[in-house]
Amino acid sequence: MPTDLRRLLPLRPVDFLLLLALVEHEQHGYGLARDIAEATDGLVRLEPGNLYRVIKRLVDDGLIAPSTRRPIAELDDERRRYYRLTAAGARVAALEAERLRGVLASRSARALRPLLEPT
Amino acid sequence: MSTRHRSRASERAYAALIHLFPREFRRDFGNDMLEYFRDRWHDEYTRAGWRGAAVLWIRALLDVTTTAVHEHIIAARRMPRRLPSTQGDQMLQALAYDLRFSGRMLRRNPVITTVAVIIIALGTGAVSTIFSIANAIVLRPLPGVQRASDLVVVERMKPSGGTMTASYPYYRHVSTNARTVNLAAWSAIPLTVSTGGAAVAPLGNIVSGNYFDVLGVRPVLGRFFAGDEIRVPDTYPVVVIGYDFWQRQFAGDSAAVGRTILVNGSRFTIVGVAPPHFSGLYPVLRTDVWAPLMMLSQLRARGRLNTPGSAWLDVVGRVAPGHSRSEVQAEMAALTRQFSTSASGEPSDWKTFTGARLSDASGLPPDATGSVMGFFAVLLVISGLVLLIASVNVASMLLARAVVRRREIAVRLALGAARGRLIRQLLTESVTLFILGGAVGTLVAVWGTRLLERIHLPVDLPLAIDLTPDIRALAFTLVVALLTGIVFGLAPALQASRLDFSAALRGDGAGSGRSRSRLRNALVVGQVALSLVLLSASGLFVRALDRGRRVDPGFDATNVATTALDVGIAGYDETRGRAFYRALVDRVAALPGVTVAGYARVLPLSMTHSGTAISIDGVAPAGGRPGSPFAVAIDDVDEGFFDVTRIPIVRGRGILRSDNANAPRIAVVNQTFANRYWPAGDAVGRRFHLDTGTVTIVGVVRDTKFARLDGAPEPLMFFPIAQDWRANTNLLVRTTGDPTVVFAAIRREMRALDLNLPVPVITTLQQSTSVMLLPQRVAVAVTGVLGIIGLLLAAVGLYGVLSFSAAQRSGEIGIRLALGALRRDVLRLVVGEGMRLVGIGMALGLVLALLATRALRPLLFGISPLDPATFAIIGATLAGVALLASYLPARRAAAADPASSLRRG
Repeated sequence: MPTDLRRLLPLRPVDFLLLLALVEHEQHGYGLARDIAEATDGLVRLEPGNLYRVIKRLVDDGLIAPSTRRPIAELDDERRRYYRLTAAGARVAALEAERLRGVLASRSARALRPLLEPT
Repeated sequence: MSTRHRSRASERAYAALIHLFPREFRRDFGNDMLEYFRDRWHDEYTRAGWRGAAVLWIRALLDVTTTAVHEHIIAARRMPRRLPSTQGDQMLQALAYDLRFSGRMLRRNPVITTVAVIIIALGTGAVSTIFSIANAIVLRPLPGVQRASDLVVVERMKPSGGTMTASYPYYRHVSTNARTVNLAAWSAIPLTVSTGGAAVAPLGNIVSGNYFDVLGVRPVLGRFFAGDEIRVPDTYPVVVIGYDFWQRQFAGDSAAVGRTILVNGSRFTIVGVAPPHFSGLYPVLRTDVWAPLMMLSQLRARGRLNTPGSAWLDVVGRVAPGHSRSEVQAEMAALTRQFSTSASGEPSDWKTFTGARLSDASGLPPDATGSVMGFFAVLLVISGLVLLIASVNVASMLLARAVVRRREIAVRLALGAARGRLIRQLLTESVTLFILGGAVGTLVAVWGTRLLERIHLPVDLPLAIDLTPDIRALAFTLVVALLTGIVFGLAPALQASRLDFSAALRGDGAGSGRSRSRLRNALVVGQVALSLVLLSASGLFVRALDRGRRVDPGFDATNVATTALDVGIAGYDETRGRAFYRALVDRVAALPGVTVAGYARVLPLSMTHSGTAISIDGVAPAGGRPGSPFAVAIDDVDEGFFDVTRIPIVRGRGILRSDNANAPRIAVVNQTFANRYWPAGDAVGRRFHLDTGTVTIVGVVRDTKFARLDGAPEPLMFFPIAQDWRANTNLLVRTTGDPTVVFAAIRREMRALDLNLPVPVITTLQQSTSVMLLPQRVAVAVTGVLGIIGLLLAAVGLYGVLSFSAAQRSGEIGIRLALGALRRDVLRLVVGEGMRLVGIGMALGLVLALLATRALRPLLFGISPLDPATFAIIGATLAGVALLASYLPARRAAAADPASSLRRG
């Protein structure tokens, strides 16, 4: 199984961001777009078409799934569909995080660091 | 509240867009996408208002088009396993490829792309600004009304033409007998409403019981009129309030239903709230309160429902299922004929209205619809000219770029690309460009409508023109952009693909086609011609406005304050009303800075009219026998009126305070009236018949413009206002200086007399007469801005073409200079080429303008559509700008270093 999931790596940045946004709690489409925009300081803004294209891809790959549970009633808006991370999705996100850590730890990545430090 | 409506319009448009996605995707995510869009729209709108919403829309358009194409490709890739690939899939793939390639090309030339987008945005923005306004005023179906296309407006009509409104007995007759249509009646009625705080003066409608049913309107709260409320007169004081009014006065509190409010001095209970945006049959006026017909006498002093001699109702009907308009028409005509022959008590000339006219419920009075549409058609054509100029401009840019890209195109052709495929690619590029321009153009339109909204309308009515662009306006802009993109992309694409590619591959610039430069030249000629048409239209409007302003109306409108008053709506009867008006004019006349004050029921040049039928013994009106009645325009004025307006009395006397209800009936006539019926000059002392009595003419006043600014004066007569009591009138106050100074004092005097009257809207006579020039003012504003845009675009186009051709000919110019030509000669060469094109364009434009400006004649106040002064000035301006536009590239060409240009050439 793990080898099978590894085939999905490296994840596209936006796929990874979306999986990360679902780690702590379930979320609906617009909420995801907002969380991602916030997490990237507005760098990544997902318009509806693009967002659901990504969602569709992740659902097709079995990394996320529409949620059957609902949040607390008064926070909820019954029209909305929520998504959750599947076990496979959580695993892939973890693998990707691990992979990125490896990238960051590489010699070349470390060599770049001084470029951004204030001189 | 209106935000909600706008977001709903946006949602509907977005829901339509989602259809671009493959069915499967739509089924899985369509609703969610819409939810997302709705939330996002709301956030953006709250954050940045209209700008935020517009930016969101542009992003959404780009997002949906690109992702939908991708999803189609994915879907198409999956298909083959089940189905053989269809032609449709291939086309989609090709389209996706073309789109991606176009995006790359457009990004690669950011300057050209940006300039082209701006130019297209100006053109589409101009068109969609005008369309948005026309849409808001005449084209949009009645808001809040169901299936407005099934509604008909019914008017009583004379066989010779001319229509009249309906009396209640007439309405009763046709509505109870009609089988093919369900008829309702309504009338606008000014109201004074007090909900506990200060009184407000909203516009109301008094309506028949089935009014809401016929229009298909449902209450958002409470109910509409029912049961005895619509049958028993004067017993059930109930009203329905408008949604906006509910929000404004009651903050949307549902407890408003059941509350009692004071309407025209009587207590009424609110029974329901109308849905948002419903504003009756004339949505450009904000209607706030609806009351049942049965309560007429409480709302209008002396209002008697069954009076046969009072025609004050508008009739609207919904065609019954299974019946056609022609059946309704036939039935209405038959019922009207029946009524005209049988009804008693009607004024005799009404009996000649034996037919019926059906028209659409367009949102404006039927007679106004045509001229308003005509006016907008003129403006739309003018803005279309700007779009045309802009498109031509972009087409010549594309053409120039095609020349630059001829190597690339030649390579592709040589490698075996089909010409059709190439054309499609180039077309996709130009269409993408135009759609982008169209999207920015909608922003321009939002800004443009804002700008036009600022034109002050000198009318004392609660205007509520909803200019927010709806789907219709957005779709219109999109279609316009798409079509112009195809039309103006086609010529450059065809040109580019028809290429002598062996020459092009060799890099031989000189051989790149005479036909291409011919096309480019033709485009410049077209631009110059179109801007001449555009500028001459705006020039003519400027002249007409100027002429209109200079027309001597025959009275002195400067330094006069005026206000419309109606004490009937506060429940005054005749005795109280007369006393009030008497006291008010005396108090106001005594104010410091006021020289004289008076009353007139109809203000001159105010677009309102009043008339009556009279007969003169021995005088035959046109087409009638001696002594038969004819119609004449009238006004009711008091003794102060002629002094306030400084209309001189040329014979006899004016109106005196002693000409009151107890005195013999008298009239003062104008010169035209006197001369027409008593050419010998002895009108004073003559008598005529009015109703059942006789009236003596006591004086003649100088002619004035009254109903219209142009044309010869019409016969007009003035009656003493005191001899015909009505609750409404206009106060006119002549001041020694700026009339606005006394506004506050006039309000103070009114409040001193009665605190319960609504605060009047006071204006100046100059402002109120300026309504006559409103079409010209709007036309000058619109064509002026558009004319300048058109001129600039044409100049940019000319500049671009000349720079380009000078650059192309740099080799030749270099040779000339090397062989000893002077810089002056080069200047003359390039400028001469430009001016030759401009000359041809202007000649062509002159012919077009002479043909086109004829359509403007009704708006020109007698200025000839061929006015030589206008054409001379416009021609000189255009030639001057063109000279500048060709001088700049010429100077650059002449300044070139011949050696280097020869090396490059």
